[in-house]
Amino acid sequence: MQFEIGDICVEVRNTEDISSGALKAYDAFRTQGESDFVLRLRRESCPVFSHYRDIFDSGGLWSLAFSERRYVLSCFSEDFGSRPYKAVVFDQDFGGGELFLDPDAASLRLLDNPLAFPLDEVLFVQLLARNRGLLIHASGLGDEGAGMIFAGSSGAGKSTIARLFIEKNKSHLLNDDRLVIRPIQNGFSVYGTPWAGEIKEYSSGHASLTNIFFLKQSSRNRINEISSVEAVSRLLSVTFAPFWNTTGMGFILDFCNRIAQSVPIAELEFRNDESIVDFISAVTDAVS
Amino acid sequence: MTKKQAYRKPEIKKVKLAPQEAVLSFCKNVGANFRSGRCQGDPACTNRNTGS
Repeated sequence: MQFEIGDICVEVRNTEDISSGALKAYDAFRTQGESDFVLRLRRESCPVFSHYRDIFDSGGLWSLAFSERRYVLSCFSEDFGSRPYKAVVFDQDFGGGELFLDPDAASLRLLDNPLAFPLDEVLFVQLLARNRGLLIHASGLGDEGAGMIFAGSSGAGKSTIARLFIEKNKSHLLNDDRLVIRPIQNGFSVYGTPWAGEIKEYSSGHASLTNIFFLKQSSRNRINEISSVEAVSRLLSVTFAPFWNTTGMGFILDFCNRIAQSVPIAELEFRNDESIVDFISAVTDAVS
Repeated sequence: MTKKQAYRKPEIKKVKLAPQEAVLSFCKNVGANFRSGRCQGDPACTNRNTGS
């Protein structure tokens, strides 16, 4: 099975015993072609990596260890105790990895979709940070090839504003919670992902990135300009960054800076009603 | 000859971070209190990480 998110193709091997329903989140992203990363599934308990050095702990759900140029991503659940129910041992060249699936976890339904959160998203954070792009906490809309991003933490209004646009048939939804940004010639492209928020719809499409808005709920609609320093720092605050990887962090910092240099970024105060749709259309038409 | 520019202290901006979100530490389908790995969300969720 192969799927492609943000133009990054991942192949998953040994999926014969996985129901097609368990992988349906990736259906819209299925592809065929050359893979950037090959994940080889193994129905074995996860090896013990005592000689590996812990380099990152997310706070319970997953952790990363490192040794001899290999990363190990381990996923945990309280239901399964202190040992990982699944773990990826990455190849040294980062072209693939072994995904160990502990057979004892199957009855807990922890392995219905072996790639399920947090594995798939952490994998893409790793792949993107290798000079490819970034994963951002934002909703995104495409309108005739032009892409707008609405960014913010949970509760900022990402899904709300996406829903308002969809209801007015103004744009198509790429995703209301997670987007990929990658460089293209003369700019950046924004891609849909399968990792939806409140709106359980998403698209594998992409659009040329024309605007980024940081959301602020308000009683009025208004654009507030922000400095490029603030634009970069706010971009960083909504980026899923590889905190464990110095090189990757350097790339992400530079990438955010490049975005801020070429894409209009502003704070958007918005009222929770359909007036915001015409407001945004007027603003973006005026500058295009 | 280019004129030497005076040193300008870099602008420092503090932004709010949501640490649990920033490190993909909770499933977006189950809400902010998710710590235990027990899914309480949409039973049809395909992003499920535990049985429920």
